[in-house]
Amino acid sequence: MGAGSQHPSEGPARALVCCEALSFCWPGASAPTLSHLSLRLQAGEAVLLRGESGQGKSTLLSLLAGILSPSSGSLTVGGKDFHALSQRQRDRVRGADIGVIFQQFNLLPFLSILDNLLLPIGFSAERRARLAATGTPPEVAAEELLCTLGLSLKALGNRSVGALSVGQQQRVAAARALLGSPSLILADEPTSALDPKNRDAFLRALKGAQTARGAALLCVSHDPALEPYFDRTVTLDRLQGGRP
Amino acid sequence: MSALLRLAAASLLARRRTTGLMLLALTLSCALLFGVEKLRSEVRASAYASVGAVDLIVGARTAPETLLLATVFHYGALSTPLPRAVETRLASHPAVRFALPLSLGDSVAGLPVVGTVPAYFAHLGITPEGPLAFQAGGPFAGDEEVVLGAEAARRLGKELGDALTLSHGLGAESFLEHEDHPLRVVGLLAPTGTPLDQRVLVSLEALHAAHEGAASGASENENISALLLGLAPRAAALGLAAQLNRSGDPPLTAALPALTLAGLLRWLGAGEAVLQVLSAFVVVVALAGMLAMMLASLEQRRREMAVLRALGAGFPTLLFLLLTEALMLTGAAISLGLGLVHGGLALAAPALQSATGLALQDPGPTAREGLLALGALALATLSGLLPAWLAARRALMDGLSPQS
Repeated sequence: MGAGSQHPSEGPARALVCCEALSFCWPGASAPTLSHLSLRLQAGEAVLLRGESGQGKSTLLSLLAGILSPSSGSLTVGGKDFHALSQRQRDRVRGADIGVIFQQFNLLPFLSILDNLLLPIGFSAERRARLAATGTPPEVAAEELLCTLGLSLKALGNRSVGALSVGQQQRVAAARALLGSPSLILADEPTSALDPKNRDAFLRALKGAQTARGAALLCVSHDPALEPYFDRTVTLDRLQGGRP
Repeated sequence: MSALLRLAAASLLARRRTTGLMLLALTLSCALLFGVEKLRSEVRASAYASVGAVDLIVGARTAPETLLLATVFHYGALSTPLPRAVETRLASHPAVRFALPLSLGDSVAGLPVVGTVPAYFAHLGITPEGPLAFQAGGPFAGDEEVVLGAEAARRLGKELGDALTLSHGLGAESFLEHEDHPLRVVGLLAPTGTPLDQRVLVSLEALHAAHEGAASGASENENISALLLGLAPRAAALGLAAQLNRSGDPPLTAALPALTLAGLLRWLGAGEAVLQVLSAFVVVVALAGMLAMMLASLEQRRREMAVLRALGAGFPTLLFLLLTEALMLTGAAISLGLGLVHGGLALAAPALQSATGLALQDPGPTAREGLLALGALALATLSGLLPAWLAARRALMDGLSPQS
């Protein structure tokens, strides 16, 4: 799977995510965390972003999620220029079009598994509307997604979130990220709390669900074992024009 | 919106131990605040009701406060008697609508015995200008008859037609029993919520007979304790009081009861204010506890905030969520506090009345209590703003996932 070669017609206007000369410097820091970074992500594409810890991978995810604002350079997600949007508008874009999976502790322990799954449509009217347009009731859609990921609410029964294994929690988190068909999934080291067997099972499930839903996936990890599951792999060094 | 409210409630319930303790502290502090306010307003209402339609109280020279306390509240004694001739003189005054003699100083089983005339019942209704309401029977007519206040009847265990013996002197223990002079209960007054409920009312003649032992009737030379005057027009009270206070034969004191009472209550008001300020401070302390609890919980809720943030929750949403929690807690505490005070009053009213004569007519939460509740909510909003702001800010600083 070569970089970009699958998309002969790609261009800035067609890319789902498009960063040009993106730089970010934490307030008070002497050196920028990211500088002159360029990245393009096509719709439906699964990309692994590799890099050593502390290089700014999580910072990049925060920028793409619209939580942080770039110091300079351009950043568009789904055709929306994040530079031109207010914090509130970016929050809304994130709620509607972006699903996020953390390393762990994705679920709120005081809510049931189903309520955790349904959280995104409570926060975003757009997701709610997209789901309503499919004609599938939210509970059914959530169960379908969970099945795609190899879990079932019926099988889990009334178990509390805390009673799930970490692998199961990550699958529920992935199902939640995908509910309401966001166009982009951001995953921050989603397998680092899993052993190799669970890691492979989770990635297969995630990749399968992502492909089935047609969402783009950007996954951050330091683990080279993840590479086979993705269309291509990029590193922060290369994205930043060979910065040492 | 409703999803956020559910989320706030679920998050509070998930921390039910700290939430419960906080709710307890807030509820008790609110109950104290409302309780002090309730007692304050009830004491005032009851005190003014006790004065009723009396426009002027006349007695031998003493302090107006002494006169008021002795005649209306049975507190303290009037040491100098008032010649009954004064009543005759004042009754013919053109502005005097009624002049009711009172003879005080006796008791039955600790209940004050008041000697007066049957007209007393026609004039001293608790809503001014009306006759007193009876729950059974009617006014006494002769010197063998007695009328009991509602509480007096209950405490003595007497009903209509029962016999009652008088004793001389104030106090529960009588030293002069007159078993040979029993009086018949002819009237039971309806409860009024005033000291009247504890009174045993007899005619002046009956009281005199009890003192003298013999069957000597009342005479013009007889002494009474004080006179209650009703005036028409009522505004004549000021002028008549000034005139009576100047008179030297015999030296008299005329007290305007409403005015004297207002003076006494103003003096009591300082104590009330201290109580109110203290109870308000207790609420502030409880809210400070809530603030401390919320601040302490922020660290353990960092993940929760990061998850909500990732789901699209912005600064205003997190602010709203945390403020909602503070307001939910305080709102619940206010409701529980009000319930505690009003429910408690309903339960404790009978005991309180028999102990103090204070009949609490609880009309439910008042406008003032509403204001206090709003004040507490406003304070809760203010104290909830700090943790809400800190949490929302940190969620922004943390980026997508907290570094921990």
